[in-house]
Amino acid sequence: MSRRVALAIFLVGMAILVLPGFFAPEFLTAKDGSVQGAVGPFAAPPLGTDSFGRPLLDFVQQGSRIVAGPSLIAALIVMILGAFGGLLACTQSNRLSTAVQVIGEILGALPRLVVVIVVVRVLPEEWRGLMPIAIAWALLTAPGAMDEAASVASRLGGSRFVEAMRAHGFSRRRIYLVHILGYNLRPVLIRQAAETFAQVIFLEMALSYVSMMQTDISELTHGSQEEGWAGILYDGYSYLALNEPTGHSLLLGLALVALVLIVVRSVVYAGRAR
Amino acid sequence: MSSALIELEGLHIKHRERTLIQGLSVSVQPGEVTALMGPSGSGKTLSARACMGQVDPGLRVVAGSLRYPALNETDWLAPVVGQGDRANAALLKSTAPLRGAYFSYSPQLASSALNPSRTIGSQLALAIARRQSPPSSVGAAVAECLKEVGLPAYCSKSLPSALSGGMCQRAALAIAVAPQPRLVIADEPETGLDPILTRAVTELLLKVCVERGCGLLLISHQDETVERIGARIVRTRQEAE
Repeated sequence: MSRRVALAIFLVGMAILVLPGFFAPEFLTAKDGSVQGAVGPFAAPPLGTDSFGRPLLDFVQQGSRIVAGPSLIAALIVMILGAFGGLLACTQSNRLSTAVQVIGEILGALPRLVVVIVVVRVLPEEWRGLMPIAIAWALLTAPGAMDEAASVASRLGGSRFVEAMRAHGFSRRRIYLVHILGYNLRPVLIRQAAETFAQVIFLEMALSYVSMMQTDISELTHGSQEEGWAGILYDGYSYLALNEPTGHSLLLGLALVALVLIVVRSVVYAGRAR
Repeated sequence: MSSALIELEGLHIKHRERTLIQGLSVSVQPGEVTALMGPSGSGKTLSARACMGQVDPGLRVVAGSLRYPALNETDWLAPVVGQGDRANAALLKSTAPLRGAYFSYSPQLASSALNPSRTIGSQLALAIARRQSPPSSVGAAVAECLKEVGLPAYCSKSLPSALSGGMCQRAALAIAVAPQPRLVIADEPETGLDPILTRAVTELLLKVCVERGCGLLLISHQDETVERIGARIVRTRQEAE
């Protein structure tokens, strides 16, 4: 598969994941009874309904709205901090490198899921949502990305590579932005950002699923009027457990999970070095 | 007016109170090989970099003059002597157009000279783009450069990681000479190579420079290599102070 094909798959996948969020309805409402009976193919909701007659397309759209912004911001944070870590390894600023390394080690040593739970519990009710969780997750993931980017920069030769490039007559800006960031750190940063993007989406699905299973836990990642992609999987689970006719929900939920993984793999493939 | 490609006289560089280089003078004539020799840590690389107008932050040029007589009579070190980092940065900027064009540099390790994420061909194309008169066909020029250093044509599409150490060293040499510089500064090209490859690479370097009529400033600490190629020798002193 060429990089262009991978890029095209990524763009189409991202469009499918993100764009529905812009058209998401405010509330999920069941269609009237006629829809659940025998109707023509164009009158029925395109992806079917859940056990309560609510269109699954609305779930997909609301899920997109919930995860798109926070997961993309988390990916961006990881990418920026990773780039900072990589570029820092190519400079001779030992004090700053040490300070960043110490902070990274402290952050990296924290158990991420515990921190996420603390964030969820500590934040006031009105601030709760996926965004603070995603930012916390990104900040805890970033030290790993910075370390990996720094090791790539070190393998490159660090400041020796910069000096060699300078001796070839390249400007500092071109060396850092094109030769180091563009050519060498790009694959690592894209992979780390893509993984974080997927992690935040799966985290949202997991937390939503938990709050659906435990009725005493309120929604952790979105408002109580909204349903995310976990709702689709939750509805589909009754097909496995109780043999209810919700297999289409299960398939749709798994398809969304697969789409996230395809998007991640395709962008990693498109961003590889060669 | 002298025909020398480079004239460095009385270079004296300090780091705080420690003298790193004292009273070093080097000149290279077109078609001539000058070897800069000395033990490890005696400032050979620092001197070579100073020849290109690269003085690291934190270092202070106490005395010296640097001219490229084949170009003009400007003393490039005059604004830097006795000054600090800001003057060093200004020198670095003002000499940038000369690096990779008037002179080129081949660092100690080929791995430092080659970008691991770019094919040898694309790196050569970048170097060729710095020629004063760009060729009509970059592809043909890349093939010619590879042939000149004895690399097969398929290396053009290879990443450095796909080549052996000796091939990488040849590729680094090809990149150094691709811009058709008037002076090549080779920093210990024998580093990391076995004796047979060392000889092959040094002789190749010499052959390419002689054929092109450019000067060669060879940094080395191997007497045998320098004696064999009959270079004029300039020695750096260890721990000048």
